[in-house]
This record gives sequence, structure tokens and C-alpha cells, in this order.
Amino acid sequence: MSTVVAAVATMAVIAAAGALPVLVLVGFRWVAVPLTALAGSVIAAVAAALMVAVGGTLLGWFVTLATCSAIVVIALWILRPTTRPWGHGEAGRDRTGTSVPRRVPGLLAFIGVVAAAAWSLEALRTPSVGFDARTIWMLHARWYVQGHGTSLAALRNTALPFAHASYPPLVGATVALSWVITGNQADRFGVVVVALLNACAAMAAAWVLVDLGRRCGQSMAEARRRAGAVSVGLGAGIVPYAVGATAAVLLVLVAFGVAGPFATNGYADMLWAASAVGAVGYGLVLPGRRGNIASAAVLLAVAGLTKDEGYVTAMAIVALLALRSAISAPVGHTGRWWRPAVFGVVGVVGLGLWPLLTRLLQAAPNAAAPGRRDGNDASRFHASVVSMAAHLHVLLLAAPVALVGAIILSRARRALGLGSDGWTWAALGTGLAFILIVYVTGPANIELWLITSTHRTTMYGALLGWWVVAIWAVIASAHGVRRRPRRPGTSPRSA
Amino acid sequence: MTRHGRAGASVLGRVAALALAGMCGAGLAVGAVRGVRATTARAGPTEVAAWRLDLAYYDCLSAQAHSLVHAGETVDVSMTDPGPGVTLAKVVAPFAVITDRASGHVVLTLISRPGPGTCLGSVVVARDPSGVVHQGRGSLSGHEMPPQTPL
Repeated sequence: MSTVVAAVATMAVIAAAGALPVLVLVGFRWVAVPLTALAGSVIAAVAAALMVAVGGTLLGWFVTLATCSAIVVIALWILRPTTRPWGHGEAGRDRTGTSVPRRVPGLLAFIGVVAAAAWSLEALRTPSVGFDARTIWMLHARWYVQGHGTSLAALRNTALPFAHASYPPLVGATVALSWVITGNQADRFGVVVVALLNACAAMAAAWVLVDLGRRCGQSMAEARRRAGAVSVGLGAGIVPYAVGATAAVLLVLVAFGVAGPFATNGYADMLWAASAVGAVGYGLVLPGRRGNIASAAVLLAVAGLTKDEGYVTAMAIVALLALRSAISAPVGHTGRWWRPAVFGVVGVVGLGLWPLLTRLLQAAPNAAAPGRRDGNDASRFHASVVSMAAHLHVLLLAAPVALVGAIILSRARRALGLGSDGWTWAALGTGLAFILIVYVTGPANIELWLITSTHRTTMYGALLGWWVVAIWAVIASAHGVRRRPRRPGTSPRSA
Repeated sequence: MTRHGRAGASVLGRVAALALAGMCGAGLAVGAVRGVRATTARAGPTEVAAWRLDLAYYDCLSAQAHSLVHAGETVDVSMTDPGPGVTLAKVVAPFAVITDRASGHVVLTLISRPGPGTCLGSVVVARDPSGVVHQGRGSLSGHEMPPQTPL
């Protein structure tokens, strides 16, 4: 099977597995398209974990889990019709109402975002299989293809420190599944599958901007309607929608630029970083509705099942999400604190299951780092900050933009029901602080370690910085073009 | 504040918002252009040729390793020189079991030996427990240097 046909077949299979769970959680929204593939890869990861822990084959577990989740969803739709994403079901209803026809602008925005991602995948013409792609991700996929015995033995093998056998299983599992489904077991094809997952994550993160633009447009239309405006036509909210869509397209191109060669050479850093950025957007910025929280949950699962940095960052985002939920709930509301607390604990425990499992299975320590530890904590801290800063120039733009935005647009932001920018910066700071602590306290030769890794470990911070800039572009444009509503019977001049 | 004062403040706020939007938009556009350039550069003919050579090199080493070791066999990969050691481990680990206990197993080493019958001057060599040495079969001719291992 050719690489292109095999890639299409793989994405179709994993998207089919993830489709029903995403539909019930997120509803009929454009963001559900990339999320279905990502949710399918989460199912593949869980299948791999069960295969390693219990036995059986990856494909067997994948089919079982996909079937079970589909049965649960269909049963839910039968028993609770309000969860249906069609008709008047809660999941499919546009509760805010809008004068902006959703479908056509949404379709155009979606085409734009997909085109940007597809164009960025042009770099796949170069048949690069990166260092970590060979030593980690494709190797894990080979183990998973060979089943329980080989995977468990490899997990415990201390002779392969560079293979990071205890890394979370999402990438290896999805690649292994693609090999099993298509029969094409080339590393090159595995790299293409990882790049497609990267593109899905980038699209999901960028789509927050489209949803934000739509929300700004709805808000403007609502304001004009409340004020008794004569006409609340397409133009009333189309500008922020268009700005959101344009910013989303640009953000996809930026994301592939930030990731550089690691977007298309089989590395997994862009996958967790873009997923975590999307989770920040849906969970900490957009209003805390079910569809947004569900989108954030899927993206957090992807980030948490992709890399060690991913699950630590995802845990921090879950904690912030729970805190935001508690703070934003009405005072005196029953369950104001315990519901977010339960959500937070369940999320953190869920993300911690894979690391716990690797310990229970006596996995070899994940300690491969270049060279011997050198320098003291202070010198390592300085070297790490300097090296990381070289990849975080965007923060020099994002920080003043956020400051100015907070001064002149905080009321407009609150009126839109958006989370404070402080949540985003807390998520960014937590992620970068964790990386910094690992560099300072870690075992390796710091210079070599930084040279070979900071481009990748700062990807989350850089992407989130660009995303902050894009968010303020949408909010500021919406505020800048808003018009004072005309009342019936008044002329434009008197308004 | 008077009605005119409120209107003036409102206009000022909108102008400031539009200026902020313009700055953010310009920044995003610059970032996107850089992204497009980076993507275009990665898909250029020089990059394509370099990575095709990399694929061919690893395919050649894989053929040599397969000629010496069968699937599932337990082997030791010499890490005396870590760079070639990791390169060889990348080739062997997908189909054989690598152990760090040397005794009683075939020991594989990647050595440099310019000339025919090699992978761009690299050869996989196996020393079995009895001390007999075998050289892998498979070759990739050319004058290019083998791809570097970025340790």
C-alpha cells in the first residue's frame, strides 16, 4: 500500500474510532474533525497500555475499546436524548443564538485552516526520519506490533536507555496501529502518521481563535439586538469572525515554523505542545461550557499520553481548570468547590495512570541524558534560561501585548465571558518552570543537553506565546469595530 | 463625564484597540511568513537529497545487521564508541533483543572501513561467543560521509 493511501486509511480508522465519543462530548462543531483523529489516537494509547499490562494484541484491544465506547455513546443517546448532537439535543444546540450564519463562515474558516496545515505538510516531501523518531517512537511501535511479551520485555530492558521505553504510548501505539492496519511497516510511513497527528493538534489549537471570533461576533449581534437595532445582519459580527479565522490560519503556519524540522520528522514534541495550547484555549479562556471543556479534555489526554513533559503540563492545566471552574461558579452554589475538586483529582489521577503503570510493571528508569552532570544549580539555571530564551523571543511581543490588552480591554474580555489572561500565563509559566527545574536538577552535561533539546522543550511556551498574541488580535479587533446600536426610527447620523 | 467626554473616550478606546489588533496581526503575519519560509526550505532539493541518503544508509545498515542476526535473537551492541553504538542500536533494536550482559551473546560493532562492500564506509561486524568474526552483507557505495549521530 502506498504511503498516501495508507495514511488516508489510518486516519479514517482512528477518526472512526474517535468519532462517536467526540460527537457526544463536543457536538457537531468543526473542531470535532481534528479531535476525532486525536481521540482515536487516545484510544490506541489506552489499547497499548492494556496490551502491555494485561496481554493480547494492540489491534484486539483497539477494536474492543472502540466498540465499547461506541456502544456506550449510542446507549447514552437512546437513554438521554438531550445528549444527542442533532435536533434539539443539548450538545447540538447553539445556546447563545446568533445573527451570524454559522455554517458558511465556519466552512470557509475550516477550509482555510486545513489548507494551511496541508501546505505545511509539504515538508513531508523530505523523507526525514529524525534521531528520536528512530530511537524512540518507531522503536516503540515495533514493540507494540510484536505484542505483549516483546513490549513488556522492552519496557524492562535496561540496555536501551536511549529508547525511553517508559515514555507514554500514544505515538508508538498510533504508528503501530497504522502498520498493522495497512501492512506498510516503513519508518517513513510512521513519520507521516505522526506528522498528521501534529497537524490535527495544530488545527485544534488554532480553532480556538475561530470559536473566539464567532463568540465576539455573537456578542456584538446580541448587544445590537438588545438595544433594539433595526437590523442585525451578517455584517454585525463578521469582522471578528473573519479576524479569528485569519488568525487561526496564520497560527497554523506559525506553529509549523516554531516546530521547524520536528513537525515532520517523526518527533512528538509538537503533538503534546499544540494539544496543551488547545487545552488552555478551550479550558481556560473560552467560557466553561460542556463542549469547550470536553475539547480541552480530549486535548489534555493527547498531551498527557504523548510525552513526560506533556503529562506534567497537562496535570498543571487540569489543576488550573479546576481552580477556574471553582472561582467562576456563583458564590453559594451547591458544589462550587467539591465538583471542580473532584474533576481536578480525577483528571490528575487519569493522567498519572501511565507513569504509575510503568512503575508497577518495573520499567527501566527513564534516565537517558547526554553526558555526566556538570556545574552547580546556579550555573545550570543561568545556562538553561539563556538557552531557553533563545527560542522564546515571541514572549517579548506577547507580554506587552497582554499588558496593554489587560489595561484597555479587560472589561471587553470579561463581557465576552472569557477567562482572564492570567490563566494562560499561569499555564505557560508552570510548563516552562517544570522544564527549567528538570534542566537544573537533572543528571546530564548541561551544555550538550540544552543544545540538543531546548528547541523542542520550549515549543509549548513559544506556541502559547503566539497564541496569546492571536487571542488579543481577535478581541481587540472586535472591540475596535463595534458600533453603537441604532434604535428604530433613528437615522444613522443621529445615532 | 459629559456625553462628549464619554464619546471621546470610547473613540480613543476603539482606536487603541485597533492599534493593538494591528500590532498583533502584523506580528502574526511576520511569524507566519517565517514559518512558510522554514517549511519551504525544509522541502528543498538539498534537504530531500540529504535525507534520501540517510534513509539509504540506514537501510544498508539494516540489511547488514539482518545478515548477521535473526529476528528475536539476543545480542550485545558495543557502546565503546557511543556514536556508532547508538546508530547500530537504532538499526538492531527494532528486530532483535539488545542486552547489556555481554557474555554468551553475539557482540555487534559498527566500524569504519572505507572501500567496497560497506555502507558509505561503515560496516556491521559480529563477534560470536567463540570469537569468530563475521562481516555484514549489503552495501551502499558513494563518496558521501555517513549521516552524523547528533549525540
